[in-house]
Amino acid sequence: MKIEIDWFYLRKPLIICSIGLVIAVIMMLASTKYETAQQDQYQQSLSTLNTTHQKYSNIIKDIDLLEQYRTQYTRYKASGLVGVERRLSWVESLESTNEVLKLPTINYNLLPQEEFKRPGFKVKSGIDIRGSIMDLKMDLLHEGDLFTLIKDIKLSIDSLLTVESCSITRRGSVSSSLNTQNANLNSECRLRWLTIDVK
Amino acid sequence: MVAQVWFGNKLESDVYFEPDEQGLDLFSDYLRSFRNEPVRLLVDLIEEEFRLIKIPFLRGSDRQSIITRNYTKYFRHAKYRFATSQSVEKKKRKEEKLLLIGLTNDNLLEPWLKIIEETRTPLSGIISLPLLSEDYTQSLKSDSKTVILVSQQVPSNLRQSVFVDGHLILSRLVPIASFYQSEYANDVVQDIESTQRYLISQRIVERSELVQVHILTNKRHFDKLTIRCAETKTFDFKILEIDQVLENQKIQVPEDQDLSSALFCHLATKKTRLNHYAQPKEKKYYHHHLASLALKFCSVVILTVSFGLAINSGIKGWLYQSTAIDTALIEQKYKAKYKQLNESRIDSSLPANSMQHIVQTVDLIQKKYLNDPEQMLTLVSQDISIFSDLRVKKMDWFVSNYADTKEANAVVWGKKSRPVKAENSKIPHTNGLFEIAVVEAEFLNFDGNYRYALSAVDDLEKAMSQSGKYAYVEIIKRPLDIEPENSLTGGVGKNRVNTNKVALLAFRVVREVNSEN
Repeated sequence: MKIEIDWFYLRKPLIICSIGLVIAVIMMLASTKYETAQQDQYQQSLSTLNTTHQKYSNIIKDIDLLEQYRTQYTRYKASGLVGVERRLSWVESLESTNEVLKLPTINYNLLPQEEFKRPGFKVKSGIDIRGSIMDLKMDLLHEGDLFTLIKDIKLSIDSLLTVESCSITRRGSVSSSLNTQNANLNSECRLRWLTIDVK
Repeated sequence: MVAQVWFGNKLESDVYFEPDEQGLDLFSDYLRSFRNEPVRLLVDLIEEEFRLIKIPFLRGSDRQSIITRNYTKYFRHAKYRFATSQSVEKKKRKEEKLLLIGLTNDNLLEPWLKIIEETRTPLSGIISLPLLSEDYTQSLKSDSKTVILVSQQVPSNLRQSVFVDGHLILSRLVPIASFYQSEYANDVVQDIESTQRYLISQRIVERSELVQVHILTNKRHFDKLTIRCAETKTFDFKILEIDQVLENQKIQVPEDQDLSSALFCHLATKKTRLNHYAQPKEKKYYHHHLASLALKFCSVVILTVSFGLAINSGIKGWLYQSTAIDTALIEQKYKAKYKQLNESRIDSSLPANSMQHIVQTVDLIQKKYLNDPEQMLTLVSQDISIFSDLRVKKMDWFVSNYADTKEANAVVWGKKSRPVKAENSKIPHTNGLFEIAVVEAEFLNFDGNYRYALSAVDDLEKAMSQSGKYAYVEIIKRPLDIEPENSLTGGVGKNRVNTNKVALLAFRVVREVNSEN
């Protein structure tokens, strides 16, 4: 038997249920909106904090790095290792070195700067390493003069200097005795003078 | 019609309505005042009949069709009828003992039910009083097989219900005129005896069987009934005072009860789902009432859940807010510290990390990439000096990225201009950073003894290889090219012009450059 529904009887609970549903939806929407807004604000403040903290960490790190590397860097800068290549100083150093050694002749030839490359060597970001090739031709009394010359040049220019090649040739025959007044050996060397600069 | 309002075990009020027009109007107003409270109708009528039948033990629609057939047989015109199972007997075939009950006069209930429907009062059920009293009888815990429960719900009628093994067998409502007179006890006992005779005639009880009789009575009749019943030895009488019973059952009533209606009404209030006679149509508003309760319950659940979720979101939001405030405070502190450090920091035109990179790069170059010929040439000179008749003519020293590079001019730094492997070289084409020395030498005062010169070259090669100072040692020119793959030109003879003989030697040594060197 089908029972007819008396909607009038059920109107009150239906209204209560509907109102309850509306209130529930409003409450949930409002609270969710509030939560989302506060969450966004929180995320924003967290992001700001992270940025500020990052800046703070960076400055601490910078200060530490400055403390650690400033002295050495200042020395490098003063010596000319960092900055523009000082070719005049090089010529002066060579002359002053030979004043002591008194080699008969030293000819030099400085080529234009070029990029420094070596196997497994990677240039760090923010800096630029360049090298000038210097070809030296000289007459030597004996081979020890060559090593002394290289050592003295390195000391006088206080920079990064690497020898790439050296050739020593006897001037006379192997049976002739060595002359103590004139050059017995010819030598040709290729040196690379390195300078570092900031990009 | 007596209407009782119960609150738990307490009888709040009871109102009597006459079965006339005025009484019905009053009943209608009375129900309207209750705002849709559910009611139960407990019927205690003379027109209620009882039939005990046996049917085959069946289930489902088969059982229902048999019951319907029996309804037609015993209660053809009765609208209100009910069947209750008493027991299942296991004989040759299983049989079910059924008690059929029905109201033979529908007209008695109709005016009241009509008002109940008009007032939209939820009717949960129409309950038969004798059937309801089965529960009470079982609580009496009688040791007799047959029990007769005697009670009076109205002064004019005496109800006698017969129970066998705790199950209702039949019930009689007989008029009694002496409720307010002295012959009452006598009349009650006579009626019980009459019932016993009927039971014997129907072979429900044996003649010799001692039947236990529980009489629910008021204070006024208690003593008289006790004295009268004591005179009759054919029954085992238990006289129960109704007020005492109510007290034992913890039922609170406003005044002393003359009748036992309160006891049965209270039993009916405890059975929320019990219904014997009410049709689905008559329970319509009860179902509506349940639906209304369900809707209200749903509303409460929805509101509670949403409130809970809203509170949860609110708390989360509040926590986010307070955390954001804390975060802002911490951020301010960092900002202040940053500002302080920035002001006190030594001003530098160069970023600290660039400074770090420069210093680290200089360290690396100093450690690994600064080469000097002195060490290697000294080593080579020491090795040659072992052989006193050898004089160096030329020494080439260079660094290269390949072990087999022939000469300094062939060195190309960088990956793109990789040189091809040198021909006829025993040195492998290995990539790395190598120091290479190429030495040309001559035997002093050579007398043409090539065998000696070649032997000396072999000794030199062996000495340098075994010294461990070089990665590779290669003789690139010998005093005499006696290798099968090379061509050999010369002259011998008496007439040959005497020329100065020379024994030349050239070799290449390679060693790998590493930071320890």
